[in-house]
Amino acid sequence: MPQLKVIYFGLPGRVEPTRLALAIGGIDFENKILTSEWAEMKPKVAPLQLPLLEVDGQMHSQSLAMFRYACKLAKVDGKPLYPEDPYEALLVDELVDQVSEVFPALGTTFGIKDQAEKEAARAALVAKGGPVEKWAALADGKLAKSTSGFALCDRLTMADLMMFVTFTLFRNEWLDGCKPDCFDHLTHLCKHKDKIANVPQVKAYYASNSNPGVACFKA
Amino acid sequence: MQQLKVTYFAFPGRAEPIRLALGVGGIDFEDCVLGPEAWEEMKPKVSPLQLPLLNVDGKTVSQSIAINRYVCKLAKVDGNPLYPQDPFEALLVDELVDKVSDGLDPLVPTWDIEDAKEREAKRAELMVKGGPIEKWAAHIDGELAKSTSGFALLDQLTMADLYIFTYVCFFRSGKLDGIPQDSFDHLSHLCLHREKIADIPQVKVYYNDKTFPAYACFKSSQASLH
Repeated sequence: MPQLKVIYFGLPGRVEPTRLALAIGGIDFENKILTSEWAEMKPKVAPLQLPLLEVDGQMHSQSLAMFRYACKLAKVDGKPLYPEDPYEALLVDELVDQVSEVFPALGTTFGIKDQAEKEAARAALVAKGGPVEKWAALADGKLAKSTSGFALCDRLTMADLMMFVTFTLFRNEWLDGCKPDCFDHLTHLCKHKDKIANVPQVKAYYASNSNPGVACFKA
Repeated sequence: MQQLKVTYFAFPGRAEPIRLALGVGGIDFEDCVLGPEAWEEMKPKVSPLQLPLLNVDGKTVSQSIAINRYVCKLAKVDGNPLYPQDPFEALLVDELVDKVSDGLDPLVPTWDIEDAKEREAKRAELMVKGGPIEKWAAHIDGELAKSTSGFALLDQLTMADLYIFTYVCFFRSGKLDGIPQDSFDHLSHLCLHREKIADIPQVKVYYNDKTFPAYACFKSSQASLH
């Protein structure tokens, strides 16, 4: 197993799914939390941006690439979180990329200086049919077709972790303008959140984590 | 082998790496080309899914990179799939593909600029040395410089090469007003890579029969096979 170091701030951000996958798979990794060191580190790794995954001393970027890698290493009940069958993997990759579509829209709201305007922009993201809600609704629709309650393949996959982390971020107080009840109308998504939070390895990972930024992931 | 159908517009765009991978791997597929009106009619039925779409034995799947990764697992060149089976090798490919794919992002808002002069001016800003697209191209050029074989990674043809090739050819096609064909001439590794991939026999064969002007930019600079 390679020496792995996940490098990011003390926030979930877009690297939390990678941390979670490695933890679920029982894979040792150093969880490097950056504070002021990023200013010094930035020019040394440029043009790579955070988050970073250091593999045997070599830096890698791109949050979805590192997440997919982690999901190939991490196994639950003997099966990797990223399916080995190409077609199953296609369905997982599709859903992960669909969930990921919410980030460009969210990104535009961070630059808004006026607080009221920012909150209104955020509320619009999660309003019915909005650029974030439409993907949450799509995910909810896929869950509705599942008998197991897992998103795909009737087992825990990369897609479940992506949905769990990403949509939960919108359902807590962390993003001004997004109310915690914003996805309450998506009943399958709500059940899914509880299901994944209660997967023993997920529960254990967050139970011992005192960082307030991840409180929303606790069962 | 599954029945595959690729649905996209008549031009290269985000489906080109997919079509090229299938062509290079010798995998049969139905190339379903939609005109703008046909897409307008289809759009509400598949929303929020966007083109390109892949149909696998009747099941519709979206997301261009996901589709591409799948076909690159099926497509082999010299016995090697275009998407590596080794997780670390795949990480390298995924990382580079994501970086290459991001290159199109600064260009996307310029399509909505109606005034031609304004659109060209905005695009020129992106292409200037240090501008977002030039910087992106320079980074890819730097990654290619590390290779002894001339392939982007692993000294063999991978999904990453197809992405770099199709995106670089698109920028150099002369079809984007405001973006001159010689835009990346100062990036020697990028230019060499473009020639190398265009000259791969399976790539050359794939583009040989394509007469639609949008495909001219992918053809080998050397004499055609005819």
